[in-house]
Amino acid sequence: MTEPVVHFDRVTKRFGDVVAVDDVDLEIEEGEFFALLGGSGCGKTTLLRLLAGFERPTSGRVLIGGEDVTDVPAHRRPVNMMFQSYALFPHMSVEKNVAFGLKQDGLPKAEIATRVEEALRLVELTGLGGRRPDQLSGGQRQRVALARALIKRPRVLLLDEPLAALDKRLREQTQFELMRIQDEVGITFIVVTHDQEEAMSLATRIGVMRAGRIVQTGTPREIYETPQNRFVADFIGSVNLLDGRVVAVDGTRVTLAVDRLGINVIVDEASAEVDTVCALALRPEKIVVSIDEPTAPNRVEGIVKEIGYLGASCIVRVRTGSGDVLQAVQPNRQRDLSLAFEWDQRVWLSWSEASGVLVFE
Amino acid sequence: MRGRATVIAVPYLWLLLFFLVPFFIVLKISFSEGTLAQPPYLPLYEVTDNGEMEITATADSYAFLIEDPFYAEAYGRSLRVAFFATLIALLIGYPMALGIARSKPPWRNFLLMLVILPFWTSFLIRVYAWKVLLQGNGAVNAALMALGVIDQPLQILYTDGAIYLGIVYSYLPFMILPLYAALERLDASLDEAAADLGASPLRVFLAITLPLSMPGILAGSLLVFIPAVGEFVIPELLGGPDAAMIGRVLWNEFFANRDWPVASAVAIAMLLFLVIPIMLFQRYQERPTR
Ligand SMILES: Nc1ncnc2c1ncn2[C@@H]1O[C@H](COP(=O)(O)OP(=O)(O)OP(=O)(O)O)[C@@H](O)[C@H]1O
Ligand SMILES: [Mg+2]
Repeated sequence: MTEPVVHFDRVTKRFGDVVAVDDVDLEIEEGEFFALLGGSGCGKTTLLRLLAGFERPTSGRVLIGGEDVTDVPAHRRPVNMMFQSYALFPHMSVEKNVAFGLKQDGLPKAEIATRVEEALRLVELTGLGGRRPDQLSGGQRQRVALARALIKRPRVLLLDEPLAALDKRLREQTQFELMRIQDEVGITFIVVTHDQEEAMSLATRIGVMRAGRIVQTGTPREIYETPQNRFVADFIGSVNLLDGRVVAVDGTRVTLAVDRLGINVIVDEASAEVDTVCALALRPEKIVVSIDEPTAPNRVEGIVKEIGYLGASCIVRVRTGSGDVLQAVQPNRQRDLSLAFEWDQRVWLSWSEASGVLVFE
Repeated sequence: MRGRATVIAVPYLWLLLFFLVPFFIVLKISFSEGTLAQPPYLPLYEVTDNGEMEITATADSYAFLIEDPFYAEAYGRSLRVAFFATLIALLIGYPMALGIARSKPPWRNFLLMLVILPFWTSFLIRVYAWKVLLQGNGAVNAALMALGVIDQPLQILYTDGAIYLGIVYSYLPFMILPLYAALERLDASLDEAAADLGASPLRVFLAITLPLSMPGILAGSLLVFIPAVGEFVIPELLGGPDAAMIGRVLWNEFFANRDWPVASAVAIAMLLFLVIPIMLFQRYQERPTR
């Protein structure tokens, strides 16, 4: 077992009364592409700044490569950061910006020149080295910031909302570039984002933050398919939460009485004790909408209240007898499938036993 | 459109009335011949009895300035004193401006107010106060003796040291305020980015903060340098009798010697010395920053 490259050891950071980071214990392994995901003000930036050395923890330790760096100033830490605002030096050319880190290490001029060229090639900015930052487009600036942060080959690269300033197309394109670059240089990446799709597509592992705490870590698939609590289920993607009480447990087969819908729901691969109050988290795409009554044991009847056409799929909102609204996403397998249901039509919703997870708290 | 024209015209009119017109009057006098009359100079031309125009304009005053080394020395001395006073003000003002710019916002306003506070008292009174403080039995000497640093009063008043002190003291706010404005605008994340890339605090200052605050340094230095060159009150009150700075020379020519043409020539020459740095500054400002 090798040392984790980054280890937050019960780190807390307070700003006056505000607890920005609350007792975070997190280990990140060498070579990971780790995404910190969370709403605005939940402490993501603060966590990165603690690692970069711009903030001192109120309590706890920060370790890099097994070494305690809590008291090491920013300029002596083997991590580099790509700032959300890019923070390019406006009075220096692109080349000088990128070379800045190497110059601080006192490397010979010739080596700096070759490495700058190499870094500019990596981010596809060859030939723009002589420009000033204000002569570049937003996307180009962002790549200069990336090259500048990468050039010292840090042990860990920190990226604070690296793609936030880009439009959607450029963002998607850059996501793949980031993945390609990480593959090429083999550095551990920690990226902060509040865009869950970005986190899902980029990261090998995600940490979901809420109010200064890390509430769940796991692969994108784990986070999406097996959220450990209501917050994570609700924060990542959309979800139907069916509140209920466990009435029977048979091994990993749990029966949940959902009083609001007046039905019993069977959940496989779950573990719970009888009488526990919890909720079934059910993703909309796991629900099948049909006109005829299905044979599946988990089913409920309702009236179509809204149909949203999304191109690849449709969102169908169905109101059940109790007034609760469930969301289902149906792929548009045929061009005219969206015409299969109409508003105010009676339909059945059904889902398999293994398609939802129980979430507590 | 009318409104806009007025808005643009007002400052130009102001400049014309209170700068250009006086400038040309002084320029005209500087080319006249002196005389013992009221006013104490002759017109630039005369129309003789037979209707011919006779030019009486002369560059004698300028020739006089060049011939008598006294004036060149006074200019040199003024420029030197102004230069070093500006340098001292910069060295003192920069850390202060940086400190204010880096302090927390409520503190910042308080500290800025302290910088501006002296303006609530008349400039003349403040310089006069220094005269009292610096004299042989003044507070400064008393304090130094009480501390045991010296055992006899120092001659501070009427030395060049007192002139420097007076100029630096009086013009420090003009250095601090533009420096503060430049430093306060700097993005703190630039410093962090530089530190993140391995620059020690000193390197961060030299590579990032200092070059990016250069416009503030230039503006502040000019605001101190220009009035310091022509300063009259401070050398008059605090300097020795032989501290011939150009402002004093000017005063003497006008009021003691009543030689208006020479005094005007002195003024015009001083203006030229001041216009050159201003133009250089303008050039620097207009230089494309990209
Ligand atoms: N220097 C500071 N002084 C006081 N409070 C701060 C400071 N920096 C951050 N905070 C507070 O700490 C909390 C976490 O801030 P942080 O910047 O880490 O959030 P974030 O998760 O990055 O949010 P966003 O997605 O909006 O960037 C916020 O409540 C913020 O107001
Ligand atoms: Mg942030």
